[in-house]
Amino acid sequence: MREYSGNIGKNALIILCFLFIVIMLLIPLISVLAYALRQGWAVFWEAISDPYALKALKLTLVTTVWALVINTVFGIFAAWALTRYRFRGQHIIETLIDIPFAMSPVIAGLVFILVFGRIGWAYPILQQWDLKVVFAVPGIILATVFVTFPFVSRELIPLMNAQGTDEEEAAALMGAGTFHIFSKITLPHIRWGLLYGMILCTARALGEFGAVSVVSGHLRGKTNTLPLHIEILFSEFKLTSAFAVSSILVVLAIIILILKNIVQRKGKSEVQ
Amino acid sequence: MGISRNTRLRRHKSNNSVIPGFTLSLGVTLTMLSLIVMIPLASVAVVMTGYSLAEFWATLTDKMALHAYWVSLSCALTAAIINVVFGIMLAWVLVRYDFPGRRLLDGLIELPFALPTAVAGIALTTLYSDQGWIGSLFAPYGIKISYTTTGITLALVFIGIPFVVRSVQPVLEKLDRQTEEAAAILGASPFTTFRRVILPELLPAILTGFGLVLARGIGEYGSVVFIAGNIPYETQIAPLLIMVKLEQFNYAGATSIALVLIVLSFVILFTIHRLAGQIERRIKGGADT
Amino acid sequence: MFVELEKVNKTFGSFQALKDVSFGIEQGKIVGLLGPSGSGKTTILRSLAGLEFPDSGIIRIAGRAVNDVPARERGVGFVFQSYALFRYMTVFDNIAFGLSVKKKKNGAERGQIPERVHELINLVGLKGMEKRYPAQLSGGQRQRVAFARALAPQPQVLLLDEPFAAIDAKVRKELRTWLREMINRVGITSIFVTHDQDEAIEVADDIVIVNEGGIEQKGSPAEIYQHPATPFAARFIGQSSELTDYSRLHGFLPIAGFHQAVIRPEFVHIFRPDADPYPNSTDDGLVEQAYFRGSVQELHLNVCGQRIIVNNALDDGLLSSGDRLRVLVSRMFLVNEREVRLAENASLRDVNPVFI
Repeated sequence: MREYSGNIGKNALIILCFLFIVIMLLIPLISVLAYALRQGWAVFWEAISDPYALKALKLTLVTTVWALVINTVFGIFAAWALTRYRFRGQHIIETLIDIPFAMSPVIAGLVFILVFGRIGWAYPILQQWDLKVVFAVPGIILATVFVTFPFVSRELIPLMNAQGTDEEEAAALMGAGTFHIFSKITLPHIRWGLLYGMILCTARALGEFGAVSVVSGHLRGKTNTLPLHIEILFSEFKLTSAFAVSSILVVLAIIILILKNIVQRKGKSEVQ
Repeated sequence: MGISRNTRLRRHKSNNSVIPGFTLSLGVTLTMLSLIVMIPLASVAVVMTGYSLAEFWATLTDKMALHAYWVSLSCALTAAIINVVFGIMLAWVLVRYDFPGRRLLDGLIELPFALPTAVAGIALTTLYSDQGWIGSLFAPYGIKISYTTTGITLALVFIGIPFVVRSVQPVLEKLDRQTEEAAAILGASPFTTFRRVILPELLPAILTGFGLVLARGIGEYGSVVFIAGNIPYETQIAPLLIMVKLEQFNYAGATSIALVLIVLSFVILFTIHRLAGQIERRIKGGADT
Repeated sequence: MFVELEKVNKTFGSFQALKDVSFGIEQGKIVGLLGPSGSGKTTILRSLAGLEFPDSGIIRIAGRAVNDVPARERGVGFVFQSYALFRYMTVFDNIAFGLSVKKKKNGAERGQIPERVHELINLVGLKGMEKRYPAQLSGGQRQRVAFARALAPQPQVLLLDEPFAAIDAKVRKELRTWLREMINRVGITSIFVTHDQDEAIEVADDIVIVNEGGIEQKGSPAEIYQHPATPFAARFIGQSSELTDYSRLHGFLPIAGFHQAVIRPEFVHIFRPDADPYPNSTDDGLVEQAYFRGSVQELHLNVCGQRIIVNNALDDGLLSSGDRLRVLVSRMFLVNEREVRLAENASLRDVNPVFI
């Protein structure tokens, strides 16, 4: 080992990496909290207890729960169908699931405008039933679900492929039903991967901006999510308020990051 | 012979797994996939047929649009290159060295995934503006970062950090250390060993990471929109132009720009996938050349 | 001595991998480091290569102490157990690697690289495969590439770590002969590590037996086989039976301080009860197990309540379990913790002094 790494080179690389991470990640993170508290706790408190901010937080949380539930259900069913059976068109389905990954969030929002908006083919139908999707909560949820669509299934598919079908087949031959096989055999193997996917999905749903921005219409107190609320405050030059509200999301992000690391470590140690 | 082959084909067609639940799981998958992804996407095509080709072409090649593509592409490309350099370095340091704070460093890599893009956007904009903590260090020298393409690139670097690190890291972990020892015994310096022995092994992962940063960078909105400043012909990025067109109710214009971006990111991901696959196939012993 | 180790010690954490290892190797010899896994033989090899650095002791190659010389300047070639070929380089580039990284400054020598590589490719018999990638080669071909690659920079010493471990049994024998011929043709001092005694005996000029981080014995294969210097050497080489009550056999008296005996199959002779030429020197034996081994039959005999293994040549017909025999043990190694002593059958010497 003596030969490979001159200590100078090694230390230089480590320091360079720390510098990069501190400047690129840590300082922005700290700056949010610092700017938020710049004018003292009173101003901070006022900003985050503002009724519009609280309503935005509520909408963000509701949207996140919807996205999480829908995508978890979809992720499990899709991973099961795609890894437990062989059938034609499997690859096409896998590719289709991944499409939201490759698309700009703005385009994701645009897609729903083109379906449910005034020029969309579904608009007359919605009118008949007096429903609103675009510039309303359903549109926000739909856009968020779309953007986070692949997260859970993408984690589960490689995991379940690697695990193979032997155990499930054995259980099926002994007469176990689908639900029984899933909960007793498959789930214990994939639980950490499932949690990991759900954490990623939550993170993205909480912070989704572009797609939601397109379909929301920015109606304060109605269709404003927390990130959109931050945008409005920022563009109105209410910097302290914008950062105060951001700090809620920063705290959530740190919690998510810690959870992610715990889940990842557990998952790794279980594999070994 | 003929009969047995036929039955085998048929058995393959209707999946013959003993595990129950095929119809249910595939049914749910296809229904949700259709409702959320396929039908909305198909609608784009339907909408597009309503416009004339000339109209489409005009927006597509509009000067402002062309400039927006260029800003998006060039900034994303620069960011991807920067991320490749630092991504390899970070992956190397995290895998090969043990030092205090290593786990913290490792845990922080995904921060850009966890932090909402809008928060990152306003934080970076403020930090790098003329009065900001970092921007004020550069301002006396006439260097502006926020509201320039430098700022856009910076935001894209931020967003792209995890991609290269996380695609290179597992490959580096699994690398056979003996090939490096072999190179050292054959007289190669550490740098030559890295360049000629390790780098080729990492290349497919680096390419994958590069492609992901590039594709993400071209479509990125939240973190960039604040720092970009949205000055037409200067710092207007393509996703923002879509937004602008939508606010003007110019759906045809928005859709045609979206189409360009979609095609662009698919071409990038497809090319990278092909390239990485080709390299992988060669070393796995497939028929090459 | 061309390669020399002097009181080399190495610890990994609390585990002492090498304890005062000293031995020397003459120029041009092929030496096999033989020992069970975990004995330290690979650590010796890696220390010679400069991949490990001993805590104390001196390593000399061609008269020069190399303790502080990094691997790339030691002038050794190394063939790894799994070959460690560069997967992204062709056969040609793999072999040329050592030449291309060294001769950077010298343009004239750089021009000679292709010539040298082709020479080596011809030597190892891989002509026509220059443009293949390692993944497109068989195990044996990969080993040839690894061998040629190690030889390319003209090292003073060639080190091989379990060179046949990754090859299936059928090809292994063939490759042993091939490797021995190659090394002889090149005339390079070579050291290889193996846990397979047949391999060591077949390929090496000299064998060094390594056990628990120390050297048990060094000598030619014949010497080691016939005159094991330590109890470990006596037990490790050859497929032997071990007895504790050796004095119950005809012709052997108990010797103070020696509680165990090691008996090689060829020290044992068997006769039908009705055709025993040495009735005064033999014991009764019962065939407990008989295994057919192709050219011979391996018999596990019960003699005076102890198990003795013997090979039965097939021209006398097959035996089966339950058969009764007369058993003659002509000699044995008596061992204790430190020493080995050869004991001859005393009764036999009286009757026929020139037996065998």
